[in-house]
Amino acid sequence: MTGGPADGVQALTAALGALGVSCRVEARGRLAVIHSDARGLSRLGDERVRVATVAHARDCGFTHVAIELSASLPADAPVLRH
Amino acid sequence: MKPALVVFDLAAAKEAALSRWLRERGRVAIGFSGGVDSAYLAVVARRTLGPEAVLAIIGRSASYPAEQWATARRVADDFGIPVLELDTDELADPRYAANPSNRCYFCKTELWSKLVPVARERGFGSVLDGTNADDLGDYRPGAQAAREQAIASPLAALGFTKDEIRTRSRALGLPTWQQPSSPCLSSRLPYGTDVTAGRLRQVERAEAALRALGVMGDLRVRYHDDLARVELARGELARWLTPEAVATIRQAVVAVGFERVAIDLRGFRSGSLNVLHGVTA
Repeated sequence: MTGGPADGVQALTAALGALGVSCRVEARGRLAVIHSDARGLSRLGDERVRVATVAHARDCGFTHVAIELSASLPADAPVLRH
Repeated sequence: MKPALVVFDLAAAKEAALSRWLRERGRVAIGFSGGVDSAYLAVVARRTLGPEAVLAIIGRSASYPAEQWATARRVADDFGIPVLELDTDELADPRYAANPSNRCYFCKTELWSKLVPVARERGFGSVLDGTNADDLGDYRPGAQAAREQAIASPLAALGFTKDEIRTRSRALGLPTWQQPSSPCLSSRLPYGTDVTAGRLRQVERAEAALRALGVMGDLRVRYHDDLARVELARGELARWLTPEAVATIRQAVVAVGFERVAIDLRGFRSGSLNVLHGVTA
């Protein structure tokens, strides 16, 4: 597990990138909200990628991980929120 | 000679024991939500004791889903179960509205404190609930309120598991046999987030809108202020994680007042918000 929310966000973002999910991660307490694009959404439609994402999120200190439903990554999406 | 094959139906045997237990009580009132457990208990009681000796009591409040109420009425109508409806108002109790982790204690205290006197006035000496054996391992502060009011839980006492209740419900023709669990609407709000009638209506409308889109199985819309976190049955996730589907989900949930919508990637988890707040592991 990582040290804090900022570490968790960075680690999860990197782990998701390795899974082919380009994204930003917003921490809302122990909930990680993934902001991605249509390609990332498509990747997360694959159960294996979803299972791996949930496992990475847990390793990064999150109890829940969800994908925000927007077609594109908002430029002003908040990255970290306590 | 071949040995005879004897198939022992444990669930049916427990049901026979339940009927004996009910006959010993004579007249029973049941806290009746229309969920899988209380519906099964009410139907067995009605079959065992007859309509004059059974009263199913529904406590109606802002946290009680309208869909659940409709199911309760349907089961009662279909099986000839006498029903009484009482208004309860747990939201008026600031200890409940503040949404602590033992919120259910205050809700059940309100429910039983109104239901038990009415049952007694009508000559029902025993008041029952649908708690089952599986529930005993969960974090359920509402059970304390039931104990304080001497509510009996025969399904738990006789060791009925949820699966056995579903099996016997199916055998008896109850429409609830495969109904997903449907806890009160307040369970969609994280502990510490004030429970208000407006927020309860918002999550209820969001879930109804998603059902109208064709979402099947377990479904929860978890309230996170501006964000709705949607938990779908795991078997449904792939179907809804497409650009076209997420657009319809987002539109439906935003229409009831959420600014943002997200789909939980793990899918439905009972007690999900307990995990988020460290109440259970």
